[in-house]
Amino acid sequence: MDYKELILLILLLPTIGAAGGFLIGLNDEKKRDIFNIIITGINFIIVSYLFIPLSSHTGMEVFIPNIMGVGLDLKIDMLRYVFIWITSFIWFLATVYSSQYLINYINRNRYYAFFMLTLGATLGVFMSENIINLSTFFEIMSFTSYVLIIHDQDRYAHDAGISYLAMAIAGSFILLMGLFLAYDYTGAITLAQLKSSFQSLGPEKYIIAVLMLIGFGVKASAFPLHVWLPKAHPAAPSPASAVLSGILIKTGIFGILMVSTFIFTSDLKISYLLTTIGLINMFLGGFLAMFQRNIKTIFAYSSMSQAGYILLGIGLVGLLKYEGSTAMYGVLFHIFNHAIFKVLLFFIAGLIYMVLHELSINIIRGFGKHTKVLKIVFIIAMCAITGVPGFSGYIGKTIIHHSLSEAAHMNGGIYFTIAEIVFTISSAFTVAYLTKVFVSVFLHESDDYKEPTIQEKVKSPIYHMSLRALIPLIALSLMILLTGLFPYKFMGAFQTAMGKIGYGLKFNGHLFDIHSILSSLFTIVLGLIIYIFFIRRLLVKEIAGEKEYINPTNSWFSIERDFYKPIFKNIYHGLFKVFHFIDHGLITGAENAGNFFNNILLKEVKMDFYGEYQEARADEHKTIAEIIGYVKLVFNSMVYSLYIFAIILALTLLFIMSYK
Amino acid sequence: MGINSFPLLMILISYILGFLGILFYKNNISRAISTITSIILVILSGFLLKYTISNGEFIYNAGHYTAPWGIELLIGNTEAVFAFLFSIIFFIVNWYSFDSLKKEIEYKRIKIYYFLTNILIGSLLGVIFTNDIFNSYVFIEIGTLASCGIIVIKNKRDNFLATLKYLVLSSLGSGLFLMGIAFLFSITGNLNMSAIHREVMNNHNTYTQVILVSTALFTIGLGIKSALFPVHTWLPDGHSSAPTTSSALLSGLVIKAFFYLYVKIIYRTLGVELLEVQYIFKVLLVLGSLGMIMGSILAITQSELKRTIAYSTIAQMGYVFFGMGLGNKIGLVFAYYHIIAHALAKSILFLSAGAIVNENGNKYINRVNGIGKRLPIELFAFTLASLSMVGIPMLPGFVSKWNLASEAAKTNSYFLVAIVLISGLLNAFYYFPIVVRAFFMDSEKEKSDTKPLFNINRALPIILLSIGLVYVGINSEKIINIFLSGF
Repeated sequence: MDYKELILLILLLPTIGAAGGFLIGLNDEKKRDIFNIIITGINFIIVSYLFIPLSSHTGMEVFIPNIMGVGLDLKIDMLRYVFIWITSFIWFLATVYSSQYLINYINRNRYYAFFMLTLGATLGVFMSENIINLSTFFEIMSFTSYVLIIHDQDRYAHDAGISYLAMAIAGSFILLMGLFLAYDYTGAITLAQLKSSFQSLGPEKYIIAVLMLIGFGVKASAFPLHVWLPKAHPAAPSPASAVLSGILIKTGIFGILMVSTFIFTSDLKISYLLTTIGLINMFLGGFLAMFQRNIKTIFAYSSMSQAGYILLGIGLVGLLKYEGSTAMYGVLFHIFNHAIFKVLLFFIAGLIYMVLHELSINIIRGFGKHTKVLKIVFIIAMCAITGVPGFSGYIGKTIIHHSLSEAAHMNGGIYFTIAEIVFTISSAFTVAYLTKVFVSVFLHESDDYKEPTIQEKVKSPIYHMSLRALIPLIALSLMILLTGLFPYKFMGAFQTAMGKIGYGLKFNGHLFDIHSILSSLFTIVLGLIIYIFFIRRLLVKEIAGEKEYINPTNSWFSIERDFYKPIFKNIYHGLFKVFHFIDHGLITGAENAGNFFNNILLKEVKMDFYGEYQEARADEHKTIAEIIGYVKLVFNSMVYSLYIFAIILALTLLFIMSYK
Repeated sequence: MGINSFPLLMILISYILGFLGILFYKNNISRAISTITSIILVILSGFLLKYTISNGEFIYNAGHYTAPWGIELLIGNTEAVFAFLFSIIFFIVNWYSFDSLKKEIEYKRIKIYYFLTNILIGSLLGVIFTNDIFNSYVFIEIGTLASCGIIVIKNKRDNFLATLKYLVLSSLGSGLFLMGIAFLFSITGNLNMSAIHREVMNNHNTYTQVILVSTALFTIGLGIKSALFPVHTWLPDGHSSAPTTSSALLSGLVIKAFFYLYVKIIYRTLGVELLEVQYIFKVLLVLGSLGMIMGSILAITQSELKRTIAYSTIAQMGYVFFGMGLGNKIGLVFAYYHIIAHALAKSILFLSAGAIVNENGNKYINRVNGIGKRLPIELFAFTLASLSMVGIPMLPGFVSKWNLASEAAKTNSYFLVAIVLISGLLNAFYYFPIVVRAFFMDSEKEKSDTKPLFNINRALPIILLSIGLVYVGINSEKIINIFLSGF
């Protein structure tokens, strides 16, 4: 089979899966689960297979005209492939995991249908070369993932859903505005055309860039557009949270990467903007994560913080200019790795929730003390995200850190000194909040969860984890170790990927030198210090004889509650009044006009009759409406028809004979 | 016997099988024969279309006599497309008639109906294919009589009156047409269209007045038959009182065939190169614009469902004449495209309106409330077709209206653009109230009969037509290219 059909197939399969799964699920849910697993599995296999033709082609493009107005233009090159592969891989595992996780949920059929549709739309975002396709898939993704977020349909989920939907729609419209402006100025409809025609644009290109960055920034949870993320990600069922946090953030990142490095080829102003936002994201996400008590919220804030690392990396690519390749390696590694370890963390949280139906750290304390597999997996994920040498997160973070030092070395100044400090502290925050989770969930000795006897181990669902739920966890852990221990294996693929956007240099830094390892260890020690002296001291209060974690941030300033909402409320009320006025005026106007015509129609007219009835009917009056009815009747008669025919014939002949 | 002979074969098959059908006593047999005819026509015209697209136009000499003596059939892309369209709509309407006819006309007349429709489609195909002007007159007469037959077959007072009106006006039209032929024959000595064209090109300076008069006679004569605005007066009566399937055929096909004959006479017989002939375009433009506006306004004032749809036909034929009146190739191509769009949409509208009238037992618009719950498929198709009439993107009505408007804009007459847009808006005024009534207003009857009714012989033809409508809308570019390459 030709690769073109394959590319179309990976876009179509999820749609088929959504529809087919829904129909099968009406009768037999078990078959539906297996069907979905097979569909995502095939999808993953096809995507993996595409690597072979991809290494011989420079880029694979499929163009189908006459769909979606401008035609469907799909493209896979190595850069997109990194995203596509990780998406289909994670989705496959999440589907396997879902089949176990969702057993006690309602509306499973709806969940699977939208889960698959989201996969299709996400792949579409990564593959579309045409900007109209891109924004269409982006929009579809926003709506389908909304259904995943409100799946529980409780108040919290709906609240989160509204935040998400409002920001996603606003974001995608701003993005669309940017794309339209870009099209208007350059006439470019594909990303490659945009790139080639953007250089010649004047200062208006910054307006376009900012609009696009805002649009993608909502999905990438860039500060200050992150407010939906800590609410929406925990609200969804765990596998959905996992893909939201692991993959859907990356659609925004993908867009930002395209705008900043591909289209703009590393503009300095935009790079500084991204670096700054990245630093704020890292710091704020990590800082707020430490206060949270719901472990899924902790992971969500952590996603925001990790997205900050990636944004910082993208910014550094631009700042370093020709040396940017190194930073690109970091960005790609971290995109790849974050997807894996964040999904793993959410899966772990999901397993806990499956058993306890609770996520608050105060209640699930000590749950994991005796669950060995879970504990090991969590340690692996934690080591990965905190950047312990030998685990995957270390690679990305170290490379980005190297690049930051290099940028500081090149440019100097107070900005980079602060950046260095923020980077280190944010990494330490990561250590601190994960230690908080680890210690309270896996080390705490609790009366509720005693060391089980063998009999209990067999019976109790806590210790009897299903294989289908565990396999994805183990697969992800292995993936973490693989990337962590053999990072150079991935360099080849990443190098081709970066070649696509002009950064194809071979990686020539050192990953495991003593300096990097020491700096990583220093961060970990700093994180532990923050944990001991900040979290243990200040965030644990004695309430009713129990030591409980508190969250003082609930009463702090919230961007959404104290800033966005009042502004939009006022705008809404203002506009409401204006439009109400216009609306009212229109309706009154139309009513008056209608009455006016009605009055005319009902006006009585004295009829003048001729002939024999003249005297008898002299006083007869008829309304205009009656006269019109009479005229209609007359017009319908045969005599009139002949009359008209004759007139028209005569007129036409007269007209045409006037020809000179 | 190659594909060359298919056109003649199609005409002969529909005549011969039509006469065969009436010989049998049972209705079922004549129905089956008519259906078989329609299927054969679809297949043959399908091959014909494929052939002309790849090989271009060709001439077939009927009876092996060459041009001046024998009758020529000339088949190009346009002819093949129309033949295919007519065959398909004939087939679908035939299918629809399986159940609907039993309710609408007397039992003993059903086989006569099938006989007449067979004759009708045969003569329409003849009108389209023939390259001989007198031959086309013969086909017109046959077609007119058959059309009168399928209107009067319902045997009600309205039908007699409508048919009489149609017959009188139509005869006048045929008379003018014949007079036009006589004028042309007197100056050229030929009846073959190509031959007339040759002769006219030679001597048009000598006979300017004759050519002008005959152009005017053709315009009015065929204008009556194809519902040009002020001489349309027979149409609303005839189309609204006829049985459902007859209305669909009359409104969807018959007037289109006569329009196409008119195009053939103006473009191929007289020759559009002649300035005298181009002079008529102004008349067409004015009358077309008037038809677009007045047809819609008259439709708004109607209270009967089928009558509204019949008046809408006048407005839509206004677009077709408008497109031709623009006087250039693109305008004509979009007039052709609008013929396809209108043929499909109007068939849907009449068929679903027939279903509504039959279910309600009442022909008035104010009684359609809540019918959408009982006839969901029919009403969805009705909505789709009326959206196409109004000109919603994706649907064919939009494509033709949009392009006609932009073509009018190129001639810098923004008045014409405004007319096209206003007419589209007026369409919405009479179609949407019907849809809103049908779907969103509650019926006065009890709730017990709100169960959806499903009749496969009624639903499937309408669904097929709807699919065709959407297909034509999506593949507009392809179809227009077929027309363009035919020039």
